[in-house]
Amino acid sequence: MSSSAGFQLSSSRLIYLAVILVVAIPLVSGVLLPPARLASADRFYAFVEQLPVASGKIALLAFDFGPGTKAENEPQAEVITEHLMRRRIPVLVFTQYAQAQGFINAVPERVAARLNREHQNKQKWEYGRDWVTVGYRPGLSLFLQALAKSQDIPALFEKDVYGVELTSLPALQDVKSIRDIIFVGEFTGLSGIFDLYVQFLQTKDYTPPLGHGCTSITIPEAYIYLDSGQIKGLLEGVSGAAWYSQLLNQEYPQREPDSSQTMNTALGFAQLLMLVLIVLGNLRGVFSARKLKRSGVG
Amino acid sequence: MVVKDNQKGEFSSSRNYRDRIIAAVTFLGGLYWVLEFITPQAVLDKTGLTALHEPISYGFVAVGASAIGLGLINLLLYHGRKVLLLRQGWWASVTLLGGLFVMLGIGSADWYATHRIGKHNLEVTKLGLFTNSINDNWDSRNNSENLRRVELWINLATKIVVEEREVLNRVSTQEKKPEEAETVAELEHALHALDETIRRAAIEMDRLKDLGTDSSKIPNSWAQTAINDSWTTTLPPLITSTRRAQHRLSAVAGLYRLLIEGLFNSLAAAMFSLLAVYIAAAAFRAFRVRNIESALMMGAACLVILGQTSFGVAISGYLPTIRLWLLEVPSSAAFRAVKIGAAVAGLVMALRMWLSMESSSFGVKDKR
Repeated sequence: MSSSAGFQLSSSRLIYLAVILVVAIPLVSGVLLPPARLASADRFYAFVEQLPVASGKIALLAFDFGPGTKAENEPQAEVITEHLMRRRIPVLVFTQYAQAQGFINAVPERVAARLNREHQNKQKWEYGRDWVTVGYRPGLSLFLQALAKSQDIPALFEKDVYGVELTSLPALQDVKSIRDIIFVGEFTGLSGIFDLYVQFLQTKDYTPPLGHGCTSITIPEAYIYLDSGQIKGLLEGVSGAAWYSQLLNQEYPQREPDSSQTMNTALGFAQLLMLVLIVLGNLRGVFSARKLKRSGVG
Repeated sequence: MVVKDNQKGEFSSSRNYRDRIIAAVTFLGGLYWVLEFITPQAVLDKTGLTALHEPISYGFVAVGASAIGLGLINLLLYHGRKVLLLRQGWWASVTLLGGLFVMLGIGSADWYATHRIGKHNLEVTKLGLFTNSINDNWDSRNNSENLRRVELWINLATKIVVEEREVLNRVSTQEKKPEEAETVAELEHALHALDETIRRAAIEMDRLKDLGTDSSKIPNSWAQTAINDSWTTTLPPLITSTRRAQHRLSAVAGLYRLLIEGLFNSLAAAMFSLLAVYIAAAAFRAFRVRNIESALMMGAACLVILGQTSFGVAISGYLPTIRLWLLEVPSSAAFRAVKIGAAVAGLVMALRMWLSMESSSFGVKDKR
């Protein structure tokens, strides 16, 4: 093996080890760094905070993410679900991505259990009253169009994931059409899914306010909708979820910590490592070029 | 469409009837959506298309879902042939088909089990509705009909109580989450309430039997008070919660969780997490600043990354503001242009597919 190839192989292994250590140490040790303030998450929080609480009105949450983007989208889904539940706005959870089935039950259940522990049975959050999960709904734009045009949303969804008729659940008994959806939260890392909600989940005279949680790589794409006002708030990757969690901590000091700030800390260290590696790589390139020049090659 | 026959120098038709049928069906299918979108709502309502739109939409979804069936058939054909004929790599095909059947079986069993929960919830909900019906249809002139209804009600209610107590006993002895333990206690309380209603109904039934046909002494319906009993509202969700707890503790649910959360989710997340280490290695080896453009790009990337981490905030309080400006102004402008371009290209591609101009998948390939 040539020395150059040998160096590349050993440097690759060192880089892999560095990435693993830099990500794992904060997760294991529980070191927490305060998240950076993100204006888009501030806007999202302020918007959810002013949503009206009224009988027969629900929030619709779409968990369109799978195991691949779970690390960023699940904390986002969790903080928004928690904020809505704290405000006693009933939540209807569904997904248009088959691989999300593992999360659409787990996230609201986990949040409700945390809230019940926090309030020690002085207040309770219950399935059917505070949240309903209807599971995977195929059809993408066709389904969203049908949802927008429907005059009986419980009849459109029919049953929840447990086969229970939606008309028997208190959260949906007075819900009729899209006008009863006061907020739509969509969380995805897939390209092209979110655009369908902006395009199709509306009628001629009513567009439900939309909030979006995206992965870091799709942040620039999502910003055009935030800037134009088509979405009321944006959670930018796990950093957005961490800042939102910080806002919830400020409002509810007795709140149990969630995973977003831990993961944001690990991500912060990993991103710093990435920048250091880029600088080191460029320095190595400069020194290699000088060495070649001095040795008379080129 | 015609192609030139290179040997004879003559033109001949290369479209057979199959291609024409595919093109016609594609056109008609797309035509419905175009017309549905552009036609005024009043016209759609008058022609009755509004009422048909939802079933038509689900029909299209079903056609798309049939692709899953086609995929399954192809998998079985290809890998089944490999296994049966013991071709090279047949053991990998056995693994794949084995995994497929295991997941299909356990997934189907889990789905069936969760939907049976809905069935039990429906039985109790119907009991509540039946109670209302007895009250609403109480006929003081028809004692035998009243008696028949009350007897039927008692049989149904007793069956529900017996079934739910069995589930309750099973769940009570198993390890539960704290909220599930609370639900079990509440269910016990609700079943007591239903027992009490059954007891009152049984008393009523005996009185009805004693009265015989003496209509002057027919009492008011016992159901008048029963419709307001607490179990009518509390029992259905409690039964759902308890059966969910029972299902969670079952072998089928455990296996399903192992396959989905233990294997699939973990493996899929691990596959994506490999990207992190590869990008780190690529950043070290390949990310070189060689000219002004790459320097600008590198600088912008550093500012955006630092602006959203705690380190950036520690370096300078202006970094988040700079980051926000970069994303809101130059980045959004560029992405808007990309989006509009992609949308126009998508529209052109959609039009070509609708008119079957992109026919290479189905049509005869040119012989060149």
